[in-house]
Amino acid sequence: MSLVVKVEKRLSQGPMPAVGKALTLAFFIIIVLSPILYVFFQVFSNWGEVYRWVFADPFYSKIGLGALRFGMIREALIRSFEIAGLVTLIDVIVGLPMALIMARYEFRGKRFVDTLIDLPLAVPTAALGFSLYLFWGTADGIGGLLGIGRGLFSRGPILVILTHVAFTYPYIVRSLKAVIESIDRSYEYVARTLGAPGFTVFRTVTAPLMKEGLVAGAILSFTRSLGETGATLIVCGAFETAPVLIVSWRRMLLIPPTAFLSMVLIATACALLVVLKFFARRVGFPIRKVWPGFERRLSGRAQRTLRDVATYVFFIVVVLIPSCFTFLYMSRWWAGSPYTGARELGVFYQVFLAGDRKYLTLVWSLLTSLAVASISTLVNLLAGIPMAYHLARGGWRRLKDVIDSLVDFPLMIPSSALGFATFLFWGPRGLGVAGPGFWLITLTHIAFTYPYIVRPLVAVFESVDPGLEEAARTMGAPPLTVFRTVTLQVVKPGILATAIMAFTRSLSETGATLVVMGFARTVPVLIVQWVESLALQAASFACVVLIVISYLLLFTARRLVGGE
Amino acid sequence: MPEVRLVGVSKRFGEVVAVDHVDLEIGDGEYFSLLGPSGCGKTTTLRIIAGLVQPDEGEVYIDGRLVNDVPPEDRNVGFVFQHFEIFPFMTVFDNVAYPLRLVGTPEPEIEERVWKVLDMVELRYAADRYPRDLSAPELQKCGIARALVKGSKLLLLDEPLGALDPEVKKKFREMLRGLVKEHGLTAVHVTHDQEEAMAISDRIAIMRRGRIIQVGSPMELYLRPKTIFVANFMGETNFLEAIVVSSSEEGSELRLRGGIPVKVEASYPEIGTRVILAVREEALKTSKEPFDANSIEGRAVSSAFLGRFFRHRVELVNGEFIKVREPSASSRPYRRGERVYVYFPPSKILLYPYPPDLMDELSLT
Repeated sequence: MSLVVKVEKRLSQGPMPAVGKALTLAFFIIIVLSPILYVFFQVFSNWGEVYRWVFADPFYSKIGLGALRFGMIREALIRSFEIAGLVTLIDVIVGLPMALIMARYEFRGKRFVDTLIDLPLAVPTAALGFSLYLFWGTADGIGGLLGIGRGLFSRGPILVILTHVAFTYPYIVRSLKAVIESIDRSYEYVARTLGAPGFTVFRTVTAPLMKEGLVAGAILSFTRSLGETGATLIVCGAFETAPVLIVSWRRMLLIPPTAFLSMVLIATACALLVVLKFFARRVGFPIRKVWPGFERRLSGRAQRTLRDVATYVFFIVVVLIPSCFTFLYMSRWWAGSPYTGARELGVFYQVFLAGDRKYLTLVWSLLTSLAVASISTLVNLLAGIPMAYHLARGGWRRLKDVIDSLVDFPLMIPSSALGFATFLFWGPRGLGVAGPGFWLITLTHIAFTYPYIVRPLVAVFESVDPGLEEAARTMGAPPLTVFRTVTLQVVKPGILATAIMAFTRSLSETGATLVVMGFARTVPVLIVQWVESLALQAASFACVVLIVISYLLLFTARRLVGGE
Repeated sequence: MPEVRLVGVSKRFGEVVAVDHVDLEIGDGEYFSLLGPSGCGKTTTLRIIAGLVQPDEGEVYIDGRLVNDVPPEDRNVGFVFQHFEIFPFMTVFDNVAYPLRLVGTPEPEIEERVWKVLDMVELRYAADRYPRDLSAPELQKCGIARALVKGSKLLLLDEPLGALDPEVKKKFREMLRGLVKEHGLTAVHVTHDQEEAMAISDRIAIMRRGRIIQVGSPMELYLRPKTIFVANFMGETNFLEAIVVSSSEEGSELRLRGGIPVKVEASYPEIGTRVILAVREEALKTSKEPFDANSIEGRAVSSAFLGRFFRHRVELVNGEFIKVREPSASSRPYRRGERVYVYFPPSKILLYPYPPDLMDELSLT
């Protein structure tokens, strides 16, 4: 028997598999779950202090505003939920027709449009926020185009909504497209032959069939929007959402109220999602009543064309151009100011020639970003592959459902709250393992990319025919050998694509990193800081660098998945 | 030498008892089939032999050795799957070489042995192809080669022909039986196809609801089915309700519904009880005039010409329907409504106790 197989046989025997499972579970509990739960512990064990800071601040009490911070928390939470709700509504309205077009139409250049839709995914959120701010909020953007001489919207709610819509657009379109593609079209053909016009078919047949997918897509948008920090920081101005407030307070070192806010945000986000999931099953579509004339008119060719054109226009004007506007901005400002021609205001001068040598900072941040992303992806692959495999193959028995929903936990929580939780747990106030800095950033990134690795891998492993594994066993391969020589071979491209996705996530993360960093900074954080110090030209350069890297990575991932 | 013995083997999946106290002895060099309707536990039984499923109770012996705690990779069996399970990321050659590489066989020997089994299944020409470029029969040939290459003497086949076309199936039957007999293997073959089991096996075990109902050679099972279930499963059989009027050593007299008298050779001591009369479609004969007292009057409902056979459907005078299969050479089509006599040969009629729980499974029309 060959040596590797011998070792694998030994590892497949006796207590070894159980030890492996225990380690997998322990990693998940300690690295991913504990920090989140620790926030609750921290808040309640220091309740006196927290209470003073949040509800009865001695300083503000003098002017009758002891609960000032609680008021701020309430305001921020309401804002966050309002924004998320509105964004989700817009997403569904504009995403559905685009998903229909992408799922049902065949046209030349469809693949190209498909990549364009995913483009905002490749744009790290801080870069996205910056790009949208440049487009909507400065004289260089749409304002200049319309000849106003200033931005169309200043930083605030409208810009936040526009940013979140652009940010969540690819998520909703992709998930709805997948849902529509999974629907058996024969039901629609039946409805057509029974006399229903196109729109009625959609409303009474297609929509009810895709209900669950629609709800899942909406929840996805909602959580994305609720947790978005990096872009929001740049475009929100004084209109601070809850995740942004965490960052602001953390920067002011207001630790107890930040802990309280994190806890409330985590709790409400989770509670809301549970409620949404619960009610989602009860939502019905009004399918009994039909308005024949009206719906027939809506199904006309002209109306369809109008719908398609509106969908494309919205996508181009609200999503595509604003997301990529940095490129345009950078090229205009490359050599100098397009207005005065001053060379000192150009991107090139600002980044490479100015005395503060921004290019060095950028290179250093880039190295940090890549290191953090590599480590967290690698660690999560090691810990996530066995976790996903056991989830897919029922290895956890009765624990399966619990673990399965807990894995998604970090996805539901705004990343700045997660980052703060990790800071509390590992940092000087908790275990004291790592102070703000590189290792804390890495720990945070491991925690939040965990579901991005495990969730897709579960699907990947589920797609492996168990018969292949059984065949290998009957031919003499012990379980671990089966896993190496069969299972992993089948899913190799899937694992690689998942790893790249997680790597990109880590590369573009802003909110959590801002909360846990010390002097080490990643590129998205650098972008936020440069925007704040109004070094817009340098920020645009950093954005472009980050976007190009992310895009190349995503492009590779797509080729890997599509190539098989 | 591989013989397989199961002693009191049971397996439960939640509430469902998939295998219920199965005892089985499969002799060395035997081609043995497990036959039964879907969900009867035959595949689970096979997987228990392979070690892919752990039995809840009972003992499994291969070669006289208790193998309950032996994992599948150490049982030295060849397993052929219904859906082939050829590794998609390997060529045919590499698929077949897989078991040899696991044990660290030197490459020259691998070459030699793989080519040999590929020749045995006539797949040499496809050695460098990937599974996606193979047809279903080619995939299954690869599956068989892969199961044989290690030289395992016990071959387990789980519906190996289930995913193949009827014409191909017949060729494969011969190939499989030939391979097993030529190389002195023991084969356990799971199928739900009665004809396939009869054509390929030395002995067949008929399973139902996790239990083995009858074990025997194809002929035994066909001619002397112990239960009504076996009679129904092995071939096309008519079932009629009847009452025993009298019975002696020479035979019994029955009354069908409507009081129609029928004589049979079998004796049935419990006078006055309800029984099921079973008679194969091909045992009956139709005629224009009554043959003797065992000919029952009826009217033709339909006559289907099936090439070598006619299949007549006749409504007897008591309103019961009966199917008759006659060679085309000695029969003719009947018009609908034409008067026909159906002759029940007393020696070919089997009697079974009336089974209330089985009635819905039997087609009594």
